[in-house]
Amino acid sequence: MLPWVLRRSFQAGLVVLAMTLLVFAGLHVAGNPVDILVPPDADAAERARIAAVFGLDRPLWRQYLLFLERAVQGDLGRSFIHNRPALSLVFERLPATLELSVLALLLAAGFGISLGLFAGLRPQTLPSRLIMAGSVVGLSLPTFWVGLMLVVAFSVRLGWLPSSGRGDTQAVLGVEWSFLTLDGLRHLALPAANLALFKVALILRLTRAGVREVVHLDYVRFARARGLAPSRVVGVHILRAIMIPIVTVIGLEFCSTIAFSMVTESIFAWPGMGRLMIESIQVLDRPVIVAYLVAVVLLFVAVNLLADLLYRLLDPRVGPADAPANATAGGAR
Amino acid sequence: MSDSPLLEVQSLRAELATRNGPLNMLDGVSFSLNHGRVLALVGESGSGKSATAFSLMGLLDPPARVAGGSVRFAGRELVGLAEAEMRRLRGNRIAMIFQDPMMTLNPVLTIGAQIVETVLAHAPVGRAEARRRARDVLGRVGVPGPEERLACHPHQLSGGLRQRVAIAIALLHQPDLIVADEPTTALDATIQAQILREVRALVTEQGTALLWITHDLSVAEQLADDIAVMYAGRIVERGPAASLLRQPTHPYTAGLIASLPRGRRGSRLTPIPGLPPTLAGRPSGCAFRPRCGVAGPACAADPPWRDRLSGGVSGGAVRCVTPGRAVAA
Repeated sequence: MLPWVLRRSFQAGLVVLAMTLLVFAGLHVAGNPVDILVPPDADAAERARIAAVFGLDRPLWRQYLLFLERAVQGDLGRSFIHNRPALSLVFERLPATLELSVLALLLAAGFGISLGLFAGLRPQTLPSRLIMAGSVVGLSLPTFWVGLMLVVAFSVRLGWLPSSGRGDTQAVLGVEWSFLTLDGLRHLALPAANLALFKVALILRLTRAGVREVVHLDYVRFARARGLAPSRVVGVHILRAIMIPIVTVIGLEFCSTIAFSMVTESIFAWPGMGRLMIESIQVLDRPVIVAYLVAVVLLFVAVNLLADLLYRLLDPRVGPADAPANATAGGAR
Repeated sequence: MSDSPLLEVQSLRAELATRNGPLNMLDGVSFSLNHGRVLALVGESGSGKSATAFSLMGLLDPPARVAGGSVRFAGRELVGLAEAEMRRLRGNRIAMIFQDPMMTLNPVLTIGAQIVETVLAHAPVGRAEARRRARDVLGRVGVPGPEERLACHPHQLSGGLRQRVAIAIALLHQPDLIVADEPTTALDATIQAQILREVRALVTEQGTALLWITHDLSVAEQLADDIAVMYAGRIVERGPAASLLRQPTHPYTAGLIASLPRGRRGSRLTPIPGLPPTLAGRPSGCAFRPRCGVAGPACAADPPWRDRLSGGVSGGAVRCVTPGRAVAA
């Protein structure tokens, strides 16, 4: 178990290294941050002074080495624009993105799994056909368009829900959270629904396919032949058997929601990491971009670790290679 | 109650809905079974043996369904019984053992969890008591180290052990009837013999009725008091095991027996020519007609039931217009 975690962490380190290299090279090609930082009427001396302040006068490879040296000490540099540590800027925005993503995912898992179970257990009924047709729509509509339509419908026309900002927040452990206040929840509703729609469709289709596959398997029939309650047959025997692909997709979707929530955050003016990223790219604020990407890579790794752990809990046959249990008789499976 | 048998199946019909209309899976299956008796339901694959078992259990899934007839169990009609009522009987008064022990236990739950949930489904006991019963029943079917096995997952057990676990689960609530769908087919010959012997002992000991479905006549011979031979969704011959095997009167039964390896080494096996009909291609009248060596024009009509042996008191019955001719020929 531990060697496996270490191996994963080492791999994550390599990914971070490669990613930072790419960002440095890419942003260097994209433009010179000094052009943006200095006023248009600044003279050469002023330009040189500013470049020196941020270390931008040195060759790129030296800048990179310096960055690495500081990074291992936990310092990812200061934002060119905000003149604050880049990492703290990112972490400041993290809770907003996190609560949005988690809420969207909870909605997606809750609706997706229950609708998928229904559609899988009663495939021929009208509601099931409607659910499946709806899922195609959910998968194919572009997120930004759905977001705009949600704003038009619920904010502009009906005026039920606010369309931008986080609303009231409540501080817990020094972090502001929207989901702890009613107003915050109202602000969360539209962006979370927007993010969740595609995932509901994805998870429900996956769940339905899994149910269709296992419902005729002998062990599900045997569970019924033992006289177990339907809730137990479905909730334990069927659901556990189909959870692995669902957990995988939920994990992947969680990562991509956090990393790429820019569209939704832009539409709903949600002050999360996605907005920060877009703003930073526009002004070539390299430290913030790097810090953001490092945070995202680490998040991906952590979520994947968690998913792998969950596999082991869900299915004992997915054991680490050194587990003695697998060595005994009955290795046919 | 004492006069009527524990299980009485009458003219049971099951059909499979298809785009071109329903197909008959079971076409009027009738038999009865009493406490402490073993009835072997014998036939080739596709003859409707498993369909019969699942119909009895109320576990036939759409597009298949029970289309008519009656199943009386301990005086109650099971056809059309509400699902909740049926569930109370399943695993409790009627238990079932499946064919493939590799597939019947849920791979992601421990043996203990699966036995305990079966206890809790029918008995108002606590978890500790359920666990104690689980351990006891494993010991009863000869699973070594039952306490440790409870914590095992199915993939950690051999096929033979897994089938013992399935049998243990069937025995949990001392059922009146056990329906066993080829439970030894997937096992080694030695383990098969062991399990047959033990099952026989358990049935005798507890007075359980056993419906044993098999395609293997030699298994039926070892285990059964009575044998019913199925062909194309119908029972074609039934009677006491020894008598039926010694003196088959339906050409199909005779063919099955002739295709068994027995007697002297090197003696010739005689297979039945042709293949069993598909569900859609069952002939009218006697369905065995196209493969039968003695079929005549009369076989185009549904053959009536006749006493198997003229003058025999409880010799069983046969569904053939010319019973006994194939054997004589």
